[in-house]
Amino acid sequence: MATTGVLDFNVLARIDSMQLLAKVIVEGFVLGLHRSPYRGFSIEFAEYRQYSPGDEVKHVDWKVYGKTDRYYIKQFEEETNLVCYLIVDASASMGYKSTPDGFTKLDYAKRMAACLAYFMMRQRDSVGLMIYDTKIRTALPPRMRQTHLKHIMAALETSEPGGETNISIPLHELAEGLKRKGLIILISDLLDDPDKVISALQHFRFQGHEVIVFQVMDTGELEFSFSTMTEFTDLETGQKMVVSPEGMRPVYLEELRQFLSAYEKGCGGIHAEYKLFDTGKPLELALSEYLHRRSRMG
Amino acid sequence: MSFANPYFLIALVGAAVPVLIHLLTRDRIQHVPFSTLRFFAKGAKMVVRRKKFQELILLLIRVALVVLLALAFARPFLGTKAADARQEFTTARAVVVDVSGSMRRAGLLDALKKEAAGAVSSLTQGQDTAALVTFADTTAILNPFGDKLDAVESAAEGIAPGYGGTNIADALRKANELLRGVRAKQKEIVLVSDLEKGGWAYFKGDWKLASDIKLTVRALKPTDAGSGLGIVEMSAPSSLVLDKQPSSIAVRIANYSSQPRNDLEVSLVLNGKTVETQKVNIRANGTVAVRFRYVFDTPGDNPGSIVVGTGVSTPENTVYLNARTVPRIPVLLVDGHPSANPQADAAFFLNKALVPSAESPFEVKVLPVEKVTPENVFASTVVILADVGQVSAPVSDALAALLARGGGLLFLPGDQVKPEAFKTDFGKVAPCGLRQILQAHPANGETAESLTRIDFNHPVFDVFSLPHHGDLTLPKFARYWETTDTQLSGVLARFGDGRPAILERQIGKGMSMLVASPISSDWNDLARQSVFLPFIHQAVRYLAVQTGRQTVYTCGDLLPIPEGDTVKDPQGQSVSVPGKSGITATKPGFYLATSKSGTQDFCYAVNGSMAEADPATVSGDEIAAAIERAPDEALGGLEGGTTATLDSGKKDAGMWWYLMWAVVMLSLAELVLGNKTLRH
Repeated sequence: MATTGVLDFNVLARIDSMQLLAKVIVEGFVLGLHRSPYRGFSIEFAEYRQYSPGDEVKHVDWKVYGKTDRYYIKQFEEETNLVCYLIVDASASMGYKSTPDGFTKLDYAKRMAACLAYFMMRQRDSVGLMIYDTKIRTALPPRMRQTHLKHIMAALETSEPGGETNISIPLHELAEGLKRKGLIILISDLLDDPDKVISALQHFRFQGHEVIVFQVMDTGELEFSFSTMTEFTDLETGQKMVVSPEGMRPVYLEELRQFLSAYEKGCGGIHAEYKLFDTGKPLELALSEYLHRRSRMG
Repeated sequence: MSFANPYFLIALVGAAVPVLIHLLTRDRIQHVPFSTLRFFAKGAKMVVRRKKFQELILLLIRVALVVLLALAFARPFLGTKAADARQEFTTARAVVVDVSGSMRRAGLLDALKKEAAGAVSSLTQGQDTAALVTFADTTAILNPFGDKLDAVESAAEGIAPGYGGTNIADALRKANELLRGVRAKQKEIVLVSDLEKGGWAYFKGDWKLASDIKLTVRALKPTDAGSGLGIVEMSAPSSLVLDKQPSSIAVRIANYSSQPRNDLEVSLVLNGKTVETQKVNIRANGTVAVRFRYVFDTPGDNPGSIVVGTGVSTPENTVYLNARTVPRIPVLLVDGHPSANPQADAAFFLNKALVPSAESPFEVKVLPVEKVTPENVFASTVVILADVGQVSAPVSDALAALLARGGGLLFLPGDQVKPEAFKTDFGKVAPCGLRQILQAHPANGETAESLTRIDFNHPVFDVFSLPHHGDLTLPKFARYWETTDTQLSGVLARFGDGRPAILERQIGKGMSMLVASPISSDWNDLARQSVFLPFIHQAVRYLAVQTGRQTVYTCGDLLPIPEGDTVKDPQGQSVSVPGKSGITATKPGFYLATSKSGTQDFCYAVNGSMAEADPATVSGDEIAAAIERAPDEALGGLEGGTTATLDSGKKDAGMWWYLMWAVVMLSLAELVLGNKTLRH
């Protein structure tokens, strides 16, 4: 089993509390960084301006008044400078895992979302969460309160694989509903028509959002390491097909390569970050990707 | 259709094994929920159908393999008329008669005819059959098995020994094969021979007679022991260069009798004249070597003989030789780096060494490399390439042709040579390739390497082998080429670091030699050493004559006389040359060949087998014990193994081979299809 940083997946899998898990991973990740992730994100003083009627009296700097005998208002940077929306795919296909003791793709996506939410909260970013399959099942607006984090974790913990993947419709709906520009992080296996999905993501880009796409795939899906004659059942449609895996492998891998390539090119075309995750790989990579994007947004 | 070994048909039950394995190991379909089927929607059913079809074909092939193997081992045969029509004899007898040179001794010929004819005449016409096989070095079937015994008997009475050697084993083997093809209740081989010991030495013990064949040996002994002398070995030059130095001719004479021979005269006869006679003493059952020294100063063929005793020269007391002398060796010296300064000229020292005076045995033509033409090469026997970097394609082809016809090539690569160009132009004619120029760094602190590990047995170096005959370690080599691709070459000398210094390789009929350092003061001081001249002379002589045409042959050898030439045998009778391969020498003496144009004559000296003089014999019991198979002896060996298992009336090798071919082809198909199916 692969390890995520200093922690083994087996250990993480036994942690039921999503918040505790996120804390373990994020704190471990933060400890591994050479510089503080909090630098530049605290509430900072910006400038003074002269008091004008209607200003809050509590913002008057009385020390300056004592020295100058004039009223000045102390201005600060906005308390939270990023709004982040975590969009997690909970379709039936996300319930797939190739090894009995491994993560399903949804487990992996949930842990990834939890870590990101925890991490963002630590940086005083506002985090919202949307979980969907054919439609939006959970929608938590962006907040930065600690209680909100608990709601996010609870929503993630209770989510289970549902119906068919239909990414484009929920994404369009969400794009219509977002008022503040922010960072959209889509965590999904993207088993949908790439053109439709890219079109939906482009909707976010038109509205000025930054978009990161984390495509989660199982190792078994990426390598297709079956050997004997197998009847495969589609988790979403229930369709069955008997396949000789050795003969099918080249066809499958070529189709998969084209599919992944379509997303990579499509995301590049709309200037969205795209990252493919293998459920056998460490979760910190998601945090690294987020930090990288976050630093570019200032 | 019938079967020779019907019990093997039980193995047909084995055809069920592949079916069982197929049923037991066929794919069990596992059921797996998968995230999506979108990536293998195309062609999934086709792959499954194809795999099932391939598995079915594979099963059929495996079943067919088992069935065919069982049928093949059951040895099926068709009960055709042709097989049954073969007459079955009571006795089939192969009479194997020795006609080697040793059978010419007194009393043997009559006994030979009597025994051979007697072996045939004792058979009954109509019931028995006989074949007549004669042998010397090789075996000839004079009369195959048939129903006419009279013809075989008359042929036996007409046989006469020749001058060839003896190979008893080959004759018995051929007789064994003959008997395998005949149906008879009793099969026999009758061997009539003096059982010369050397004639049995060819038997390696790797085969035996079929178990149903009996061997009877009729050993013959000469009525007269004769002189008891025989020439067992001769050494004489075949081709040599006209020279003032004497050449050596030697023979070894054996005394097989129990009495010593004193004052035995041994004479050397050349060109019809006795040039020297020596008297030797030979102890009983001993040998003595007699050496003559003679200066061959007559160009062309020098036919001669060495005669033992004072009596008339006969093939029994004479060996024949022919020393062909060439007047001067035409040498083409190609100068790869001509220069007005003799020290810098690549060919200067070589030319001086090869032609020190007007009496040089070499006729040297020096040409700069640009002016060399294929015609120059064709006109030469030896070509020396002194620091030649590259040549034109026609010249390169001419060099290859020179080697093909038996000429010599000497490479002396220097600064003008580039390894790649050398490989391109001389790759097919050089004994090795070149990699790089090395500076000598011997461990003893000197700045030059010496020659080591010199092959003093080689004709080029044997003149240096004795003390005070030149020190080949004196020349110092400061620079030399590192050679490559030397696997097929002989290394005649090495530098102190172990790298090859002088190499040779036979290419075609010719010899190519390479010295890894040119004759240049920038590279070595070889030209200033006293060994330089004799070394170059020896090397060029060796390259010129070592592949010269062979002049001495043995009875039974093929004389390479071109088709269309006129040939006269030792008795002066004309012999026609049937084909390009020449004619077989059958009589001792001189065969004289004249070319179509009548301009070129060539004399071939032919001797009888010298081993025939040895009177030692092998016993018939020993031969029988070695090749007869006991009835209960396990099958083995090439001959008996197949013979004994087959009833001669039932064998049908054709069907066996067809079946085995089918098995082989099906095995290959199974291998390919099995591998393909496994991968899918």
